[in-house]
Amino acid sequence: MCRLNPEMLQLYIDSELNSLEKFLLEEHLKDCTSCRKELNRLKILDWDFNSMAEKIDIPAQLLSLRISTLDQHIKEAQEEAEPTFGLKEVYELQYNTLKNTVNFIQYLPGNRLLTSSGRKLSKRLKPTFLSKIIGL
Amino acid sequence: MDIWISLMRRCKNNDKEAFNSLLSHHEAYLYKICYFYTQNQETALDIMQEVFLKIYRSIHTFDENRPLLPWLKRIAVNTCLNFQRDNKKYNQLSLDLELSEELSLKDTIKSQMDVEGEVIRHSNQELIGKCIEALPPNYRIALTLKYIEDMRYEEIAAVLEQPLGTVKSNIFRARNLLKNTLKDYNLLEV
Repeated sequence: MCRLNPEMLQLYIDSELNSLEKFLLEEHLKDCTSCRKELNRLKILDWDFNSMAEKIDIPAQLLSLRISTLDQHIKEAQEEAEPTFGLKEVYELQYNTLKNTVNFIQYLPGNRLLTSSGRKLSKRLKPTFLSKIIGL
Repeated sequence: MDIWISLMRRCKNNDKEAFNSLLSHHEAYLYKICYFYTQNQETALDIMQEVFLKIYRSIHTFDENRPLLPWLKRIAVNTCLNFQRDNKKYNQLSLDLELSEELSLKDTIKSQMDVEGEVIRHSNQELIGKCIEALPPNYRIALTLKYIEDMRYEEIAAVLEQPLGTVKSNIFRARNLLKNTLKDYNLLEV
């Protein structure tokens, strides 16, 4: 049974062996029928893969696919660029207004005491929208 | 090279003509990667649709001074690897099967088709196509980059972000699986 590392044959086909390794392999192949047969099988497989790769046809649909996806993307990009004023913007405005309105609380004297008592109290109560804004 | 840079800058401004010029040069080989990987035209076109959209959406973050081809290749490769069909028709080998790989690939292919009939009716290449489809994704993508892109092992390892040893062993094992399967049907004898 041949003791040659079978990976050597694959490296040989891929031209990944250095000159010395290549020389040694070629010397081995002169005497080893099984390795020669194995190499031939690998060469045929390699040839088949290469010719498969060369014969791939580009379908006509690829062009229309590129154009249709590009049109879709450009349309989406234009829609994003246009400013809108919908429910989301109204909500954000109201949220920011309310948040600014209660901002003064942090400057009140006794603020820390108030805040800690407020937190303790809030744990006993159900959370409300206002308490979430204030940060309790 | 300057032409590509100015083309990419125009693409970043969503210039339709620039996108068309850029992609008309590259879409063919990106498609070939997808087709060799999937061995199916319809699936390859589905993947290409995702690839196109990813390119359009992420070109804004691409540094035009970097080479374009590796970036496009990586998008195609990642999309292939992540793509899953909803109605998967074919079983694939699990990478966990180490000892009985040879048997499993043959069984997988046999379970999908009437092999004896196929051997008589179809060419080597059509049968090899079926075998490629049954390979695990990591083996398939390494073979795809080897034969479609004619890349060396180090280049494949860089694109797939895998160690060199892993890439080599995936390619070797993939070839061995196919060789042993086809050998049984005397399709690799001269």
